[in-house]
Amino acid sequence: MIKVSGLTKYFDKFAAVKDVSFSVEQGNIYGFVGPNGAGKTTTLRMLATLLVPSGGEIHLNGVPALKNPLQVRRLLGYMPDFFGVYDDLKVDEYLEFYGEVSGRSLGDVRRDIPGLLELVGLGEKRQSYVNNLSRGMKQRLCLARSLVHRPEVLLLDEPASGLDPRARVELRNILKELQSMGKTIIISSHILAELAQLCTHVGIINNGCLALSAPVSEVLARVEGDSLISIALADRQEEARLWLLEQEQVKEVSPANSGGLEVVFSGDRLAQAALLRELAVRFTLYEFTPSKGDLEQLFMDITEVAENAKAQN
Amino acid sequence: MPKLKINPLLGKELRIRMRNWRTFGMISLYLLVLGGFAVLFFLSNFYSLGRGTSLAEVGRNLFTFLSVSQFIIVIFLVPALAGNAISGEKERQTIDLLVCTQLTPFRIVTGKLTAALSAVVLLIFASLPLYGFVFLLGGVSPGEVLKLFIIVLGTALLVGCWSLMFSALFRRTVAAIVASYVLLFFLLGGSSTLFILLSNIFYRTQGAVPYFLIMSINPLSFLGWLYPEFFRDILSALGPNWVGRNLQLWHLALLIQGAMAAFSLWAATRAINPLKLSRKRG
Repeated sequence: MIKVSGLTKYFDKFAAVKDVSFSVEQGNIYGFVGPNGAGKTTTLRMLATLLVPSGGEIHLNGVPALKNPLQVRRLLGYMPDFFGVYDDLKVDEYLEFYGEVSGRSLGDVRRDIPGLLELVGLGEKRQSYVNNLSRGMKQRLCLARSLVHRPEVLLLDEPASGLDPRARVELRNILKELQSMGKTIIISSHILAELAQLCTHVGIINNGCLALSAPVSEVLARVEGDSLISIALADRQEEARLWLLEQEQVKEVSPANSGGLEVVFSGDRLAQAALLRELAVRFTLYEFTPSKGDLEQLFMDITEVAENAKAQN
Repeated sequence: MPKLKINPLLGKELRIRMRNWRTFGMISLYLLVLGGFAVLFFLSNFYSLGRGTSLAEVGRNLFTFLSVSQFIIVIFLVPALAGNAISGEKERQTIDLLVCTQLTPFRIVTGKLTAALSAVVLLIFASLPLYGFVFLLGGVSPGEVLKLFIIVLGTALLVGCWSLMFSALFRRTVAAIVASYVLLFFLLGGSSTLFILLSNIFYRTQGAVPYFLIMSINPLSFLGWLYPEFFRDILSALGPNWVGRNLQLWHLALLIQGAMAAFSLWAATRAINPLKLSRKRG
């Protein structure tokens, strides 16, 4: 579906993206993670035919992006990290405009608009002026705009930035729904843990180089060493502590500051599930939260290696 | 019957423009200025009626006054109308979204240009009652009024082209509008000043040196189509060599300023094409 090989971009002598290669199959969600200035936006802008690479190739459905930009633009919906809207238009007029300039007939776009607005949760805002929407709503409107010409591929550059936690969850649900509709999505973020919940594949980029590109399951396998699990119980905490210490993969149990227990656990996710099941049978369980800090640690480790290599050069 | 399909960009621009109070403010001010001066001009001529001046002559004078005033007002409005066309999209951060559609850079530029010119068409229509009053007095044919509208619209198109080019080249609307006015002042005032200086230098050559051709970059020379006698008088004063030929100054002006406009459109199209731009940079 999307094939990127040897993608490179220089701004004068500065290499913003260096020899990046990856591919994304149809229906997958590819998370593009990296710190600020890592080259995520430059890569996405090249994919969106808004920048010419200094080297390398991009193919969408076998169509070379640079040779057929109009054909490629028909296939993809792009949502930049910073974008503006036409404040003096109503929500439906805004979508009608982008539908028409994307090559669809006005009648077809008008038929699709109610469904699109329902999908992004703006069903009741159809006649509102764009000016009157909140930031989160504008973000969702921009997502609807990127879908208005029924693209097969979505390029979303940090779509969750600036959104409150509730809006982030809603956005994640919308993207999952889009995935179930067969859309291929490339989404960028600087938070690996956030993308790990959503994506099928992850690429970690730092200083313009793709440090890791793999299925999420593989990435998670790399971090599944000892993990910290927070547990809160209704009662019989001491009894639970003793029971936990008897379990094979539990290395340590200590009281948590919040009043519950913190368990150092060496098992993988399946073992965690089994432990949760057993605990729930024996005790009245309030909370069972495996720490997500490990993904962040992995991200830090990978980007640190790249930083060190850069410093040595 | 095939359905008339307008550029969606033009539709959007018109919708946004018509929702804005500034459009109505601009039309009202334009009519107030044009109409106010027309009334004053008419009154100043009205008292000479019966003292050797006919009603048709007053009508003719009023038309001349209105045509030149309208021409100047419109060409000074065009940079303000077209100067923000593309730089406004850049400032609003909507240009990428627009470029990422099925619109080619050329269609984006022509859509924006048509939108700016549609405001000029609106101004022309709004001024029709004033010309109705001129017809009432007589001395002017409908053909002359039509000629005037073609000249105003055509000049607006040419001025609009390079205003749009500056809008595409500059990131800031203010810079684009200032650059457009600087060029406009140069073409209007600079060419006239050069013309006067050169005529003082080459006056004795009796037209052997065609220095007056500098006026072909002046948009005012298009009025030569409407008032050929005025321009003929100027040229005949310079020397006999250039009088009575089929080629008139406004023909040359059309050629030169048309080429300028075509170049501007090409430059604007290139400036908003990200694939052309970054090839140069990257």
